Amino acid sequence: MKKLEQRLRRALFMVPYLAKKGYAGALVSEAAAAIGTTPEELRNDVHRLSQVGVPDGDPGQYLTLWIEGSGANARIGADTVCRLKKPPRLTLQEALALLAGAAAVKKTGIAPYDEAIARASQKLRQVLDCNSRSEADRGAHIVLQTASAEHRDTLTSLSRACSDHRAVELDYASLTAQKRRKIRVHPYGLLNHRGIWYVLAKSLNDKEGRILIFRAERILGATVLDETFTVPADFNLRDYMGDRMFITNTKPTQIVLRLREPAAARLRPWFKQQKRLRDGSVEVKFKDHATGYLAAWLLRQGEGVEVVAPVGLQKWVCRIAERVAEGHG
Amino acid sequence: MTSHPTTPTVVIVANSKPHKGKASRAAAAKPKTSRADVADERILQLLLLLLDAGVPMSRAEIFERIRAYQTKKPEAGERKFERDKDDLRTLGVIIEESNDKGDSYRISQKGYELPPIELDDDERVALILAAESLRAAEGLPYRELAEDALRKLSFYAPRLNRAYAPAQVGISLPSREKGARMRRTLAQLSGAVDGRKQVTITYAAGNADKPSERKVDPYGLIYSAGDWQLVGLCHLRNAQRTFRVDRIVKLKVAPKPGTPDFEPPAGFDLATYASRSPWVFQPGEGSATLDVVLDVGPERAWMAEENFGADATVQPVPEAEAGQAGWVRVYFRSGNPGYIVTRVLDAAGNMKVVAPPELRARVRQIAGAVATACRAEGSAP
Repeated sequence: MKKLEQRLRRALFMVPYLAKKGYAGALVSEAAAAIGTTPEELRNDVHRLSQVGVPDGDPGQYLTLWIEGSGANARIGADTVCRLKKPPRLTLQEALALLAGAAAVKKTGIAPYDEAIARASQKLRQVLDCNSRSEADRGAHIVLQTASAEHRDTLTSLSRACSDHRAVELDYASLTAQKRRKIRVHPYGLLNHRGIWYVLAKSLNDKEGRILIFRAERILGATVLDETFTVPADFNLRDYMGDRMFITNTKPTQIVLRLREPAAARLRPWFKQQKRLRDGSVEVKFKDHATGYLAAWLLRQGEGVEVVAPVGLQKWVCRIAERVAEGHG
Repeated sequence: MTSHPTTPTVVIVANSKPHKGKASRAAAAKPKTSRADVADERILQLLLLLLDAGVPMSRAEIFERIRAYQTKKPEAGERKFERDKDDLRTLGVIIEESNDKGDSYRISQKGYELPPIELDDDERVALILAAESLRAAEGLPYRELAEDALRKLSFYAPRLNRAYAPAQVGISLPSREKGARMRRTLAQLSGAVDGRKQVTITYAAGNADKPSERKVDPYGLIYSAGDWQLVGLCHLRNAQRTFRVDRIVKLKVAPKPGTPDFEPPAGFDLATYASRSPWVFQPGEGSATLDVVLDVGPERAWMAEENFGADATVQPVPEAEAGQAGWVRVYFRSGNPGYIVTRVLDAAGNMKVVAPPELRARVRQIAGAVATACRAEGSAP
């Protein structure tokens, strides 16, 4: 978005926002947060807008803004005579942006938001002008895939358990351990990371009672129990968002792979540390957790990937490869 | 100036000479005026003038009132006026134009103002989540637009910002590829999609030796599992194709931004296209459709619930045949055998190809080769 457009958008929201505050105005810091800018930028905007108006115009044809006081107590306000008493209509692009986000969340069945999203989307369409409404019905040009609808029931019951603070017994197929087991948990929240839903929960099976991350699609069953719990005051779901999601406390080990064609060409760009060997193969080194998940991932890469170290991972890949070959014999 | 009850320490009165004393300090502290500042002021002047008039104003009247349009070369003023109208429309302002008696323009108060919107608590949270899902979309204008939209709606529905996001649900869709290049590419592509402008890309396909240049009519962008994909008509293949945005090495958008170069085909729906299942679709020309039978074990029960197409059927496998209770058999048609092989290998023995025999043999051959290589590596000195 161009800087000019950003500033104009801000101005068209700022003036009605301040006018609505009446004669008392608002704290500069409070107004800046509501307008989505910094106090310094807001002050600059006010200075700039002091130029705006039509020469010899009527009261409605100019803007009157004020700042009083300084520091944390500085207040800002606008005269209410101005014509800009309400923000402009939603643009088609703004509505499409929210509708694209809403469509991404709607598919997941997160109760109670799935129905709420449908209602909110409908209301969004209503506040558009006629032309934009028909354009919006054609759909957004951007689609965000957050999940398929296959795990709706699990997600819905887990979402309710999170809201009601009820313990749950999970029937969980762990790819790390490559086995299925029952785990009692206190579910603290649901997080969609790169389109995949995860449950963040305190595991009662874990000796240290750690908060573990369970992938929703691997929850084969979820029984909500009568037991209730309290979420720790310092828990914040948003601390886990982004790339912090998979940072664990356990130490990764050094993994060494030998890559041959056809896998080498495809996989080499993924690894920083690599060395070409005399036989034409490429040796790559990286640190990761030598789990069943990694073993299955390595097998999925097909021919041309050999595990050099650690020996445990090598045996794991060998074992599942034999199992697959045997199953297709 | 205003009827403000207190004595302000800084007063800024628009459209007047700076006041002496305290107000003049504000004027003295004013940042230097740039060309962008002038454009800001001019566009807002136009808006305020037309809003206040309430009735259509002729071009001549507007030019008379706004001095910035009174240029030495009349065509320069005309260009400014046209640009300003476009900018106002981008901001959501509806300008009615009439050509009955020369050009005249009107902005009605009702047409300008955002109508009231009432949202209940769940709807409010739903919209916050919607905006949160876009926050990872670095480089897309959608990200800022969603925030702006929330801000406007908050005029009638307070508590509509990220501070009020639900405590137990979060959405984070970061892109694997970070950095300025990706942000720039996404921003250009999204502009091209919106403006229906053809793009020329240099694309490094995963299975190609060297990048190829293609002209593409971009229909839309899809975010899926950390990757951005461009969907459009590829003129090289003369067919609809999907391109990973991080594999676009070079990008050039066709000139003349205001003139669309193509129309997406009637009935094309990006959401439907994005929801195609990789189990069934045909990734490219030359891939045949197969009748596939897959057995899925109880430890991967969720995989049997994936989208195998509208015609797929699922039946239990007798325990005597499977050797274990809880196996199911899925019958479906697929044009994507490579994907099936990958998923079966990844299932580590909990998914088996029953038919067709050539696919079964392919899985056996790859798994056997990997097992042999592992054994050889393990016995190496």
